[in-house]
Amino acid sequence: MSSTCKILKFYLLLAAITAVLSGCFDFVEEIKLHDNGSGAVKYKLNLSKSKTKIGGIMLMDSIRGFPVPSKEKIQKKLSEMKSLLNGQEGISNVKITENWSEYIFQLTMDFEHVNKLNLALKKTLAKEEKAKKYVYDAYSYSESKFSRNYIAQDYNEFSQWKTDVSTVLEGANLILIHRFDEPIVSKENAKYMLSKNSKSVMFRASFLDLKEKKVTLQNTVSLK
Amino acid sequence: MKYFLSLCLLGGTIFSLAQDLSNHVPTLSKSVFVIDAASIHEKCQKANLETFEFFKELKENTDKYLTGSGVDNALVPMLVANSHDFGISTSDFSYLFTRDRDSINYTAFIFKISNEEKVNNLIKTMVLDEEGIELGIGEGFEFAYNDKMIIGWNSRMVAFFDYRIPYNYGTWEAVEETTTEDYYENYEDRYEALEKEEKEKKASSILVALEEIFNPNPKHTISENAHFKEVVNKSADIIFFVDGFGNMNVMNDVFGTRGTVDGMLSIFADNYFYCHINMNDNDITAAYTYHVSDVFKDMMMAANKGKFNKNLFKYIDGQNLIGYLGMAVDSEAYYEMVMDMYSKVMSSMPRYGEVVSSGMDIYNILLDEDEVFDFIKGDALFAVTNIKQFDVTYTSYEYDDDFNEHEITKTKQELLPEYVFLASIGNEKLRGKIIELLEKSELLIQKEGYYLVLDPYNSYRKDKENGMLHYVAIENDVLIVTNDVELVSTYRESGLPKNRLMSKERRSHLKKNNYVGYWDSGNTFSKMTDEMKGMGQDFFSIMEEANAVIENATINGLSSEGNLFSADLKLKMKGEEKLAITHLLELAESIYKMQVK
Repeated sequence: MSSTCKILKFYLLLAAITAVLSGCFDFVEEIKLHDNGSGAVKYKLNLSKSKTKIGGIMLMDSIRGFPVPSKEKIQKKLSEMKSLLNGQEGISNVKITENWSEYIFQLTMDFEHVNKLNLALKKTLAKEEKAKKYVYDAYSYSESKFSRNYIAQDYNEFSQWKTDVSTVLEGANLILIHRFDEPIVSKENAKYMLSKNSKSVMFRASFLDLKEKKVTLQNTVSLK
Repeated sequence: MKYFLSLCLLGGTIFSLAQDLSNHVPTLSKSVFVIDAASIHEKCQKANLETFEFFKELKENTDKYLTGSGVDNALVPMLVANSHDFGISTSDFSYLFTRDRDSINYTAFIFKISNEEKVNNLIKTMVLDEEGIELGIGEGFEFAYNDKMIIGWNSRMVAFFDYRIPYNYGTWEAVEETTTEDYYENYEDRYEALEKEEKEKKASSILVALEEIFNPNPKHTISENAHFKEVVNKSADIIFFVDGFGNMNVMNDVFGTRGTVDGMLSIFADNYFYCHINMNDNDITAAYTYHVSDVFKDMMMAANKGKFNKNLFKYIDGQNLIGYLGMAVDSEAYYEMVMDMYSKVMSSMPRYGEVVSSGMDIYNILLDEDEVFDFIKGDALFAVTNIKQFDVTYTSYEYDDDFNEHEITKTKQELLPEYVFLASIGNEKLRGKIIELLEKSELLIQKEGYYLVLDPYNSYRKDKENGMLHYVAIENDVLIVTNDVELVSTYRESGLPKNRLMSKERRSHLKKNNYVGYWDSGNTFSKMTDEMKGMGQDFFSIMEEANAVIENATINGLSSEGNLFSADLKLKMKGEEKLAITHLLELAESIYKMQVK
């Protein structure tokens, strides 16, 4: 899972989803990569399926011991994240869109090279105590080969939650879409589907499968 | 002479023993609980409190109180419920009160001793082997304290405190002291001196609080408060008393010392609030009474004259009623009362008081009161009539062959409360204008005889009827806001069929009171079973227990007698074979078991 995904998870969902929601969100990572390693990335968290419950939870101070962040607090955190990313070398055009009616949140930015994207995410997360331990270089690109790296997460800390983490993650989906300028020659992970024009791959799995290590995000794509 | 002195001493002792502990409660206490330990102890014994696991745990860990839980949320219930074992007198009231002084804020629990040996054992258990405990002797009492709690005792009474030294206490002294501060050779010496000074300051604040309780000025205790005397005349398991005048201190923080308090005094001068809480055989009741000043009495009486419009009852489905909350007031009188109160408070603001007050006067002149109060009649009811499956739309995304994203709207079923908000309204002309305005702003869409509420966030969408749908209708001079489309489409004109209306008991409750509340536990929990299971087995178990224990809760109000305005809350328990307190203890037991797990 990408680092930014972790940030969003911590700041938008932690309190809400852990307590009562199941099968309730989609996380989308979409990368458009050019030949020179530059590109654009979009991270989207879609909580629309649970919007009535989240709307109710947002009215509470805490739920089952987890503090519920206020809309203002979330907005402040998102704004801080935007400023942090904007200040990183090789990162530009950082935009955050918030839809508080549907609870859909999106972060987009351009990067000069995936290495700089890795570094920017790392530096941004370094300021967040709870999230920084999840940092790793999620992307690499050289000699027409793009890799989406993945280190299986340790879910031990979630075992302290009063709610079974499996209930929380049940039905929650992760979607990765990676687009390229040139057609794809090969891909290592069979779970990644190839698009009709052969220029994109898509990975779709539930967070539960990821937690139970039934799937991995690790993949290397070779381009023409 | 020697005999005479001995007699005086004996007489004095007997007199002081006969005195109630209320003469040890400072008159400026923010709030006071009067606890009838005898009654509570007797009820706890009947409920076999000793057999409950959570109580055994509390009792076995008395030594942890000094470093653990607070006085009011753990220590008091444990001591009161088991007063005999701890040597607490049950023939006298015990008191729990909060007090904010400049030098110390505290919550204290004081009780008379019936068995000195038992009390000594309790104190020993709490004080012995604890780290960081300071011991001391005051005038006629001993004490021990750490960073969180203080215990003070003598042969007659014991006081337990939670305390906090206000962060700004001594700030000005500290500023002054910097000019004459001593010179220190190194940082450690300076730190040590400062630490010593802080310790001394804390010790003196603690001693002030203890002195105030153990050696009070007889004229400055709550026993001299006439309102308090009236309140304690009526017996109850627990009496809660707040003297409004004492709490004028709060206003000092807002307005500072320059505020002109004359206006506010007329509001708060004679205000006090009390509540009698009783644990009866089959229910638990809390009777609230608010005493208002003469200035507000007439205004309250006028505002309180409202009644619920019977047309409102036609739209409340009683079949699966979860609960309701409502009030009926004379809107004009209520408005005048609120404005008068605000005007008096705001005009007391330093510097801006006059400006704000004039602004409010201008606003009142401009407001067309006839129009507004013809429109808002003053009665409103919010009811949750069911918990059921609703269609809810949400945003999702589909991907084409090249994985391009396309936004789509999907529908799913969700268990949600069905609600209705009802209010009597008049002034057809004005309400027509308001509806027209809301339609123009695309906040309402006209349907057949009713309106659909639009979420402004959805205004950019093709499908504007997105998410959870809410409806508005006006019929029979009743404003109806609901998420039940059937109510505004099929039953808007006629009201619900008779067999779906609320029970006679509920209607009579609404007819007889102008402040109402009702909650049906059975209907709530039985409908929420799946949702509760989703929140985990532990949560589900507690809710199951609550369902087995609580029948319903009702709020009745507002009756008045002179300057007194009263309302009461009743929690009715299920099954008459068990005492209400037994039910409550069983609920506490299941919560405890969940926490232990």
